[in-house]
Amino acid sequence: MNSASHALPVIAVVDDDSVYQFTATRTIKATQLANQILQFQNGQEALDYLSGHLKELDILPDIIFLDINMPITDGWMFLEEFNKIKADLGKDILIYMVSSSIDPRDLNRAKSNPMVSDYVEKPISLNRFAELLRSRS
Amino acid sequence: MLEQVHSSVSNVEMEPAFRAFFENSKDVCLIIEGEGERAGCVLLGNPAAARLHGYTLEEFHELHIRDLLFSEDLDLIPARVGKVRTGETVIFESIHRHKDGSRIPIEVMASPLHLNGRNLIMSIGRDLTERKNAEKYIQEGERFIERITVASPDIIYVFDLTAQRSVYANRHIADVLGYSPAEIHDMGDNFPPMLIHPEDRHIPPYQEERWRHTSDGQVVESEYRMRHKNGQWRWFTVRDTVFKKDAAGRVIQIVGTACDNTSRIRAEQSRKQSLSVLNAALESTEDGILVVSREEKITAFNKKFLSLWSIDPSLMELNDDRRLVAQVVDQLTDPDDFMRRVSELYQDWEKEAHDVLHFKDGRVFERYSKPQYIGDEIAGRVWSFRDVTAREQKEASLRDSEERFKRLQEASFGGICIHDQGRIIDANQGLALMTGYTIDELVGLDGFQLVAPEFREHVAQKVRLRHELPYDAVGVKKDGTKFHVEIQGKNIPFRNREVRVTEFRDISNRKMVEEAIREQNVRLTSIAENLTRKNAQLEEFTQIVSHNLRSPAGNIGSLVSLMEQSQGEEQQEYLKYLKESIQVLLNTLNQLNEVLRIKQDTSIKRQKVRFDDVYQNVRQMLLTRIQELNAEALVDFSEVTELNYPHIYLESIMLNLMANALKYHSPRRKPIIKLRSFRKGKDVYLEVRDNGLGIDLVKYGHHMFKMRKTFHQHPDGQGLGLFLIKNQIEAMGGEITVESQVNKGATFFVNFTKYSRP
Repeated sequence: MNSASHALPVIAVVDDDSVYQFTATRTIKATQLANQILQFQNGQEALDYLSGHLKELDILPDIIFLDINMPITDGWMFLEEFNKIKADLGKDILIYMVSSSIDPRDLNRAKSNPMVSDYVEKPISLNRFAELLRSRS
Repeated sequence: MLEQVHSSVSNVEMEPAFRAFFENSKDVCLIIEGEGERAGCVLLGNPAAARLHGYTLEEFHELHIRDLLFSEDLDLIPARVGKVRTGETVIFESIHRHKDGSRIPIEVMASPLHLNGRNLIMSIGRDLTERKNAEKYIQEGERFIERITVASPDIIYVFDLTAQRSVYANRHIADVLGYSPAEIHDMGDNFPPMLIHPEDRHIPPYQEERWRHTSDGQVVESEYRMRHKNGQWRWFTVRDTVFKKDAAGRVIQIVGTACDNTSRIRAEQSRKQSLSVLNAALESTEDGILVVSREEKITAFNKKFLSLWSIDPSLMELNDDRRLVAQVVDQLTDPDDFMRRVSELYQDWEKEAHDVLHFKDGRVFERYSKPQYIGDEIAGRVWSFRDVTAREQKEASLRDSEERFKRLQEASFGGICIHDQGRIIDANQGLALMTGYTIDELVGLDGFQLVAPEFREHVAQKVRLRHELPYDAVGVKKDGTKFHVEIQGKNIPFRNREVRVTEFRDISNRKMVEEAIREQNVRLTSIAENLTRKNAQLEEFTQIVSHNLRSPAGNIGSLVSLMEQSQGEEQQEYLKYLKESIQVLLNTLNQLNEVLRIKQDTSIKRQKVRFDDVYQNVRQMLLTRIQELNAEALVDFSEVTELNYPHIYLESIMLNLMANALKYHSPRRKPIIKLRSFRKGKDVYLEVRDNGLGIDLVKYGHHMFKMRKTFHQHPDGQGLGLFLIKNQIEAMGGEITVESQVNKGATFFVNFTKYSRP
């Protein structure tokens, strides 16, 4: 985390919903607590990015907001693949599961996964984003 | 005249010794006138002569020789006198006449006596009475012996010890041994080895030493075998005694009688044999035996009898059954009863009896009593006693357990039988009621008759394996009706063998209930499956509502709050996204509406739909796309040509599956889509196979038919079609499944009838 430890974190939003991508990015920017915001349409795109920049600390995300329901590679599949490359990554990455699902099974599954820091329901307000971004430092 | 003779004799100067001889001689001495007219007159006779003839001396001197003879001998006198006159001594036997007329045999020696010139005759006579008698006796004796030797059944023989041969044998030997006396005589030394049994040759006392210390008249008895001329061995009882001794007193001949005793000796031996067998049998038996004669004396008993009754052997020496009984009777629990029965049996000797005796010490005896017959005669009574205490106790406990068992099985509701490899030994009322047989019919019946033929081998195997757990089978009643039965058996020891106790429980009711339960279960299972499917569909629905509706709604909320804090161009941008989100929301609501309609429209009409008709429609709809891709469709609806199904659903299913196949074609090869209808078991299938991109089912299989799923990074993938047709198929009681390999293609199977079989 070296240089980034005192600087603002790099954020990744992984979601297939373009409207959500838009509103989330704007909201995170509005908190003024993020350095850079990366956008991925699905889990596969995010994994491809991480695998391509394993040691590039400046552009690796510090926090990932991960949607559960996505085409191609959903949130759960992402976690499985992430687990395989985690040791090779140059930094610890916080993962928040994000969903508009209120299915308690999704909630429990997310909370029982040690790689997941928390489960967050959509929509996420500005204050909630600020709280989550601050908790990292 | 007598004086004259006297004087003339006395004139003779007789020597005193001569006179003494004359006076004392036992022989008759007479001096008789030899010539003249007085010739034959007795001049002088001695006392012995007077005595022999019954006269006194005085009377005797007046006798003439004629008076001493019988008339038939008188003619002999002149000749004898004449001979003596010539000087001869004449010896002759004559019969003199006693004074009383009796006859006196006499031997006479007459010689001339010249005395003083006178010719006298001196006659000396000896009384032959005794000798004659003796001779007669001897003659009679010889005749007697001869008769005996003839009449005796025995062999009489004389054996010479020195010559070692038989010197005499009576004729009877021919009858007994088959040899004539001459043949025996000819055998000589060979007699013993030829005739006496090799084992018995030492027995006959044919050695001189044997007789050395034997007194005359002592008899030596022996028994040995001799061979008959015909080869048979005969037993002889032989009695030998001394016959002749030599001058030194050594026995040189023995006389013996040999009696053929073959039958007696054989009988004796056989009697000894049977006696020893009898004794051995008597002692080897486990029973105590006592034989009592009609006089109530003890004829026989064995040691076991003594030990059973604890009798001192000395008591037996008294040989009195009454006293014996009195001594032992107190050992019994009821001595009076015993005494009474003994008396009864001693009054009725023909009676046989069998009782049980109970002892004070707890022992139990069985007593048999039977008359002892010799021929047809009752000679006494045989008592036998057997200690049956152990058996009694065993039987009592067996009776007890049998009784208990009987009560148990009578009280049981089930049908119980005891059988030996199937053959029924006993059965209870329960089994009779269950099977329709009577108990009497059941006993002796082959138990497998109670089992339905198709179950007999099954049941037989359980019997063979001594199976003890309950199992089900089908029974047959006497009238042939079958019933479900639970059988449970157990092998038990019973009267020294192994039998099997088997219980039948009629489980017809249970079977009916089980059947009902099974049917119920099937129904419940199908209901449960139905519910599970419904539940899965409901979950999908919840997910759609929570995600597909909340997402755009949430977006709208976010956009509105962002819009509030913005102005001008930025607001325009939010407005654009807002419209987009509202459209998504409306689309989603429309789709949900469609699905809800499918789910709710349970009454949608089935109709006869031809696969080929539907296919032609769908092909028209997709024709542009097919031509663009230069795709090929191969169809075969020959196996199942038509289906009873809602037309629009079948069209939707076929359209979506074909569109899906076209959409996910592989750019590397010409798309080929194969459609086929077929029947498998009771179900009707539609198969749609493509050679497209395929799907990683391990990764995505569980998401295949969900709403808004796209598994390809493909611009057209909206993931709605499969969700829709899945709902249509399931609403009609069917199922859709998929097989696929990445980059090879995918095959969808629609089973139209899985949950709605006719």
